[in-house]
Amino acid sequence: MFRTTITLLTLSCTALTILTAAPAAGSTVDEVITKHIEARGGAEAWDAVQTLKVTGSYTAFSKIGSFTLHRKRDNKFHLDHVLGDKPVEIGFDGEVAWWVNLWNGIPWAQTIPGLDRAVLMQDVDFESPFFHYREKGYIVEFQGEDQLDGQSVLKLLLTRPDESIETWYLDPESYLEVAYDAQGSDFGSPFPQRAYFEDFRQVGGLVMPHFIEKQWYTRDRIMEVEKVEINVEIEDTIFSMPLPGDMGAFQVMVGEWDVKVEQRDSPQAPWAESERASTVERRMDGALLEERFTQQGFHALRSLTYDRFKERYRLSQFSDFTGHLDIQEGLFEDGRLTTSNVETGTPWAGFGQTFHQRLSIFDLSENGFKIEAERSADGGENWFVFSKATYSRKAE
Amino acid sequence: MASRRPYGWVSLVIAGLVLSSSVPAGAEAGADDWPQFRGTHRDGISRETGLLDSWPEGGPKERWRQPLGEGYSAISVVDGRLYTMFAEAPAEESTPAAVNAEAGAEAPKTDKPAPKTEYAAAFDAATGKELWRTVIGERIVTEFGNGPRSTPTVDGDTVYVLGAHGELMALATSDGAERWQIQLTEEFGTQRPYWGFSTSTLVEADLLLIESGGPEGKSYAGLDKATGKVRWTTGDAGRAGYSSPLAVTMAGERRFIYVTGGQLRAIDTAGSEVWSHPWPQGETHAMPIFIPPDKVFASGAEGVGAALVQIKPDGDSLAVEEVWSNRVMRNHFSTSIVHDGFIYGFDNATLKCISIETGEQAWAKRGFGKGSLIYADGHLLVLSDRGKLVQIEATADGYSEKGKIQALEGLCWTAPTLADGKLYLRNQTEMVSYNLEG
Repeated sequence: MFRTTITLLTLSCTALTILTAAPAAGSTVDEVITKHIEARGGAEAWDAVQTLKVTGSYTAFSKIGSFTLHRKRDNKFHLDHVLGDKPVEIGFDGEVAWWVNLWNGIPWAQTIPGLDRAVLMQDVDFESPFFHYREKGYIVEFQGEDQLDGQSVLKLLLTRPDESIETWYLDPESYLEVAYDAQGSDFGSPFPQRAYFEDFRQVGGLVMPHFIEKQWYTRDRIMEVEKVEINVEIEDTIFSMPLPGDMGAFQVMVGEWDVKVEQRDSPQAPWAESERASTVERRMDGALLEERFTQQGFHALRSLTYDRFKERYRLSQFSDFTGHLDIQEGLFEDGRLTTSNVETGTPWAGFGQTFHQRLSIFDLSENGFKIEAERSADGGENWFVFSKATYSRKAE
Repeated sequence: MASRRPYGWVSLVIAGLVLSSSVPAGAEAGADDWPQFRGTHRDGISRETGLLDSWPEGGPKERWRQPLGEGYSAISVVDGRLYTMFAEAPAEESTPAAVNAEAGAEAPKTDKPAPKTEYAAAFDAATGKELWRTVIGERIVTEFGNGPRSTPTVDGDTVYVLGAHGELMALATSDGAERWQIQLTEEFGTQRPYWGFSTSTLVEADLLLIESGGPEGKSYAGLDKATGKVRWTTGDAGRAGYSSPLAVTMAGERRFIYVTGGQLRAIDTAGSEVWSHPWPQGETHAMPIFIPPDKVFASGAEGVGAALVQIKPDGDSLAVEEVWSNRVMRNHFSTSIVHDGFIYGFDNATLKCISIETGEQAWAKRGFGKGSLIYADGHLLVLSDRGKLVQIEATADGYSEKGKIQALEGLCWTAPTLADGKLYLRNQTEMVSYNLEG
């Protein structure tokens, strides 16, 4: 991939060509946006860019920290920064918005809730929101010239698909962004927010602001860009929400499956084969996997999560044959998850006996995996495999 | 609007005796001192002249720079001595580990750093060398910075200090010896404000006035400044805030203006409320500003905004009328200053100049973050929240910079102090002085 690295040092002498044009009072929205896109380096230059890596300083609570911002088409966003004295990681993979936000007191990834998600969406546009705005489903209305802090500006009203509205102000001479007003959020409470853009510099044919300040409530956040890298290699995984433990490894289980089942009632009994279908779905952005299947007329529900406090995986299963919720816990080691209900104390009792169970999930791949179930009638001293299930992904 | 107390306003006007100022009645400090929070008049204005009109390349001359512990306490200056508060670990010889070692005991194994203490201290203004320090109490630790918030008030040979946990003390200016102390939480049943006690005490004649923040009529207190004995308490304004009271002379009478507990209010020297005006609860940490002869400006963050009110005679009482209110100037913790018909201050993180008459904005300038400012000799001296010191012409005609230096590094939320031509700045780690004499 073509890679361009441009540092501030080399940029310091770069003269930015400012587009000049007649005042835009009688212009149409598309005329204004066309000039804005030209001012930002042009659509052709931007369309050639697939990724951006931006680094610099980030000031919050009057303390200077660092930030690293990764962007990838389409609107994939990952910001690693220090907010005050706490590191905060924010990601968006095009669907799921998440953060690891120590200001919330939670040191693991969480889905970003309602208002905060909407506010994040103001930042995820790969380029200025006016690029390809119709394709993105945005509505833009040009409201003529106005004044902002004593400066003449062109005023644009931008409506996003979620119906949130932003008022953007462009410089009438350069057509570059001056500021925008939008809904902000402070720990989930709504506040009016204004963002300012300054210090536009040319980087590899693109024109980008190198000073971005946002103010809302009593907050002041300043992002100062020191280095921009264009079309660097960025793995998609950086944008995806980190899952607890190795839950990411189990995401391959998601889908529709054909399952070959072998069962026996005792170690000496012959294996009986049967087939069934199974569905595994992601819940809570993959933090919980849920399997549903029907076997021999009985319905079963199985879930898998990770307990970050006990640092163990927890598997629960319920069927209308047993009418019993079995909870198992265990570890994922060497590609094999093994859980049991010996320590959780949820054995099943029937036929005059108490049965503990141990489950293993292994041979995980995109196309299939296996689950073995063992049973113990002596409290976990001795086990025998009574069920083997081989999952094969259903053809599309 | 409320008028609470009969007042002989009309007769005073007829007699032509209307005196309006914010000069503290009991101030003994010299003309070029800065004896308390925001200076002699608590208005953030230095009356000194003959200061540098524009700065040479490299900025004004740095006189000295000394390490200083954590805290937001501003610097008071009287008679060549600086007074401020800070927090740091006790000296080696007094730490538990050192005491144990001296006694032959093995030092306890712990990863915890030595507990830090809040101190009040005096320094030589000429060199920045520490002259004495006195333990005030345990260091406050918060998400947004540790250490004491309140600024010492110097009155004669006594300096009054308030620790973040509510330790109110009178110390000798000569050596820091304790004259008396009370604990606000015990004396008044006060609950410590979340970010710590921040108000700066006010001396008026033989009284020490504080926002005591206690329940059941103990919001404000007047103490005998010589003994610390409580003379009176008044008010039910709820929990103590972060603002400091302002002493003014309105229509010939001394008044103490507080903005706290959902009211902008004035009380007299006996602790009786003279007038009050509804004010949004919370989010107002900046001090009120007196605009002679009869107006008061107050400002709070975001939803509060700013208002100018006028106190007028209303029969035998006083009426408080709002002249204007807006959200153009939303002070957070930094208080504005007034000069020549305009208010200069921080609308959150934007420095603005607004008209006193209308509240309309004359100009705005970003780049200082959540800075602070004072006025001296035709200029604003603005310290950005990241330590940039800027001299700006104090004019409503537009933003005009006359000098700029990087004075400090890191977080700077404490306003500058100017005394005898010398500027004093601090942050969480050091204190620095510049010579501004022309």
